[in-house]
Amino acid sequence: MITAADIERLRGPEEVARATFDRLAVGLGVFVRTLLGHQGVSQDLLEDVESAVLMTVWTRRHALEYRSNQEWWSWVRAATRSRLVDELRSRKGETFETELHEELTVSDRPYVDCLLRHSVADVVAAANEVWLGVAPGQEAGIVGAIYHFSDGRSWEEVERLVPGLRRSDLTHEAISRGVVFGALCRDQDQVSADVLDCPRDQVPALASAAGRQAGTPPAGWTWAHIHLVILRFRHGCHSAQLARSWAACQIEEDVEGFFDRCRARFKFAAIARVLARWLRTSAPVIVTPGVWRRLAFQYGILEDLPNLHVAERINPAAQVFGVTVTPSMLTGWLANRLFAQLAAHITSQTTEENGCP
Amino acid sequence: MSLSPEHVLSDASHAYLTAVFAAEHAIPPDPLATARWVVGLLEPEARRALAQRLIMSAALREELVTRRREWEAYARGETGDLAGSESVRAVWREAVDASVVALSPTQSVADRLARWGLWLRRTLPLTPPPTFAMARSAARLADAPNTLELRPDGTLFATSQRARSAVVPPRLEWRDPQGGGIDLGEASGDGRAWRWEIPQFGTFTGLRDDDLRPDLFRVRTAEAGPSGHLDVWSERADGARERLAILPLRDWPEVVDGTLLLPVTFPKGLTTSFAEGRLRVSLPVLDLDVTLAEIPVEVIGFGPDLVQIPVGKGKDGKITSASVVILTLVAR
Repeated sequence: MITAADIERLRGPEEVARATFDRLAVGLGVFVRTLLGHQGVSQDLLEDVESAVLMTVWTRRHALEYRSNQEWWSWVRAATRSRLVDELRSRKGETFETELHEELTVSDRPYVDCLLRHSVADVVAAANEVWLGVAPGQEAGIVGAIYHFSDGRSWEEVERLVPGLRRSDLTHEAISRGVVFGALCRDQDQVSADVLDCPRDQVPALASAAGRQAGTPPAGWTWAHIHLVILRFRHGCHSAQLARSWAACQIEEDVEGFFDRCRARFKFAAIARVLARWLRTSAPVIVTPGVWRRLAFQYGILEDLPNLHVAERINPAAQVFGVTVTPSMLTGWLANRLFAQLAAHITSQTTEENGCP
Repeated sequence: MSLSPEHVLSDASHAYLTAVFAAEHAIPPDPLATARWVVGLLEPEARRALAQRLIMSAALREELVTRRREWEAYARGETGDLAGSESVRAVWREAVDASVVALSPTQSVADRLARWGLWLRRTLPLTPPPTFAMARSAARLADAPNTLELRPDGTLFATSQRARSAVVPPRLEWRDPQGGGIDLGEASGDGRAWRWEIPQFGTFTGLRDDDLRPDLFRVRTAEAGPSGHLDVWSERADGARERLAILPLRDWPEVVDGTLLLPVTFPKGLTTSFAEGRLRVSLPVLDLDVTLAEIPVEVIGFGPDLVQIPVGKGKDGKITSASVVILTLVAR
């Protein structure tokens, strides 16, 4: 959530403003890429618009006024639309039909407003509550349980890492579901590291080196292959984008064959087998469809991966528990009702807290 | 207004919301957040938000492990390779400042409870409870409240029928096992049943209902002075190189002009072992002791002395609790 303090720092002395901008720019870049990516904007146009939006925020930082998170993102959306139009005009002849020109549907407004009034942490909490049954206050217990049961850290160390945690806190089913979710939740860098068989913190350097084709690649790899792994698993590029890069790399190999070999290196199934042993007979109770839906929300919304990528991250683990997440199931979960479900849940919670019927 | 979970958003709204949440999720957490987590300085809301992140991110969990190790190294006084741990240094300062502020005798009860709660949580498991301690009804403890209840919202309820003769409403005090205590407030009601309601007690102390023991509380009917000082707790070997002895105070600590005055007593029998040692004054912060000062014994000698530590933000007054600082003799 962008706060008034963030905007205040953006308007402050250059050094403070620069540090804040660098932090927020990560989110701004993702916003522009996600929004325009969903509209089918070409990669080079998208990159130009992203740069222009970042430039707009930086140059206008002194005039920015914070009223609410909703208004901030509404302003960024408007800025994205303006810069897109500017870019299209400068390219003379290139046209693009975009829904960004339209105001949001009136019937959607309450849902959008409800969700944007809350921080991403609140929305994630709602997702955990709806799909994992995690009650407010159980999150620290899940963190401790992941350290202990999934990462194998001693209980003494866990107590130091999660102050105030007690072992008796970990006996709830929701905690177990949280552990399953957390252990299977691997971000793009981690998945890329699994494929490249390297430590996670080496992935950014490898990505950079692959882009520059600099130095000697790790044994068994070419820079071109690493570049494609990075595009596919770190940046979540779609098949069409990859096909262009694949052709440019002039690799004489079957694309899907290569990515199948990459996927064979995923660790989701191995982790799931460890979890299944840990859960033993309670696995069917713990591993409800909610766990897979929560993972779908993670990969499909928070990390904005294409459905195909979401499925390939969920299915290896789901199959260990005898579940197959079909493309149609996934499409259903990630369809446009998902946000409505969270908004309805948040609204009902707020109503309860206020004592309203 | 009720919203329907079956409502179908337009693609534009869906894309907009996805863009916002993917963007906010991508913004890295404040680098100070993990450092604050390990020293217990995160506000509940920020702590919950970070916990959400920790569930989702193995990398952040690794970072937390690193911060914790740096913090432990810092607490041990190791100032070697701390590259990349500016956040630990910054939060170290915050933690010490917060603790020192909470030392102040004029600080709010909530702040002092918070610090003492931390201290008790790490200390109580190490000290065997008195024989009466586990009994929920404090039948054998003359000055303890009769009933105690810590509600889920953190409010402490206590009642007492003992101080029937009291003309002035008695006060409830949270007892320091080493002497003194923190005043929690005056009773309401009358001599038939005095009642106390202490909001946010559980929130500040981190204690829960099943932690509550009658011997942790005292119903006080009149002003009482220091009710006893420390004896030597222990004299133990910490490996081959370092022997420690935790020292008693002969009177309450006092803050005067931003200086913490500690009337220390050196028990007999320690002078030989620690003649070339150091007196370490440390502040319990969460589960680690933060060293405030180390003074060679030869500077202060072994006579009754007043150890003076500048604390800056403290206000003047006596601190009627013996557990706010730890005085340790460290042998060379």
